[in-house]
Amino acid sequence: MDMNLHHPTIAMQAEPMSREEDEGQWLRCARRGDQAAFERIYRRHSAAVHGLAWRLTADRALAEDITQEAFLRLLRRIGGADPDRPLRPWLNQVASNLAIDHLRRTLRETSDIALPEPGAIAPEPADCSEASGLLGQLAPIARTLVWLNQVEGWSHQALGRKFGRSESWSKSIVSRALAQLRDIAHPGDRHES
Amino acid sequence: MNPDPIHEQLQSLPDLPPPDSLWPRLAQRQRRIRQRQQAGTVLAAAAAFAGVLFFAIPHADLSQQPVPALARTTPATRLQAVDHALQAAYARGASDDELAPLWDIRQQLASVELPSPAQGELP
Repeated sequence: MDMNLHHPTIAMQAEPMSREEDEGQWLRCARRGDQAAFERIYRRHSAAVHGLAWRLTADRALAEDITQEAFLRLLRRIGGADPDRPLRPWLNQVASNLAIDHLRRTLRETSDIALPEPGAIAPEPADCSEASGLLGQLAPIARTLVWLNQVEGWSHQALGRKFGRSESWSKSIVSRALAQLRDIAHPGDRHES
Repeated sequence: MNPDPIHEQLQSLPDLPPPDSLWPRLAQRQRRIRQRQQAGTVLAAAAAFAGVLFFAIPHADLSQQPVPALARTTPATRLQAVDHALQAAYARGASDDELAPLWDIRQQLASVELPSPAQGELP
């Protein structure tokens, strides 16, 4: 019989830790330079951060750069990160801000409220689902606003402020974009909203 | 709850894993950041040590009193040590916040009257 199984400390360690507990532990270890701990954090969150960056930019290289930068910022500020708070919202916020900054820079150079050329949006790397294909039909600014509002839960007020515009500007773009998506998804089935 | 099917479709989109090549790049950057942080710690310790040496030695009485072996340095050699630390800091692209204390120490050392070569080394 393995005596270790009855050792109280071992038994406690054998109990599965909650997501938050082990993430906090990984963060503490990563602060001390433990690369394996940082890799665990990366493995847990990278798909979500990359997915978000992809949906906001529809640009493979840019989504990768944003994901990398979000984790690098975590590394640089790891000493100040609170191990008792979940990392995902912070990482998502950083990725969203990076995507918005890029979009704002692009908007200063070009006016892109119009629809992109057909085929201009790269297909998703893995499964190109119907909804994702729909999203690709939107102009960059509309796609970003729709995703942040409808999926990430940003308010129109926050979106307007972030882009240096008004709340109604965000509302109007999201509303038109959603109507456009409904038309594409269900042609002939007009929504009056 | 938003009953809009478009909203639900968007919400149901899965996460997208980044390419496998991203982690090795990130790990390399992590090592570099770690090395830089360690170099910064060493530099800060060196600056603190130089500061302790500077303030621990009564400069006016150096020629009259025997000094402990650890502190048996001249203002010139201490200045040289701080210069090396500054050079190293600039070489690794240290921030102004890291450089400022070194410059302060250098200024204080430089303000001490250095013995001329003719006066020779300390006894």
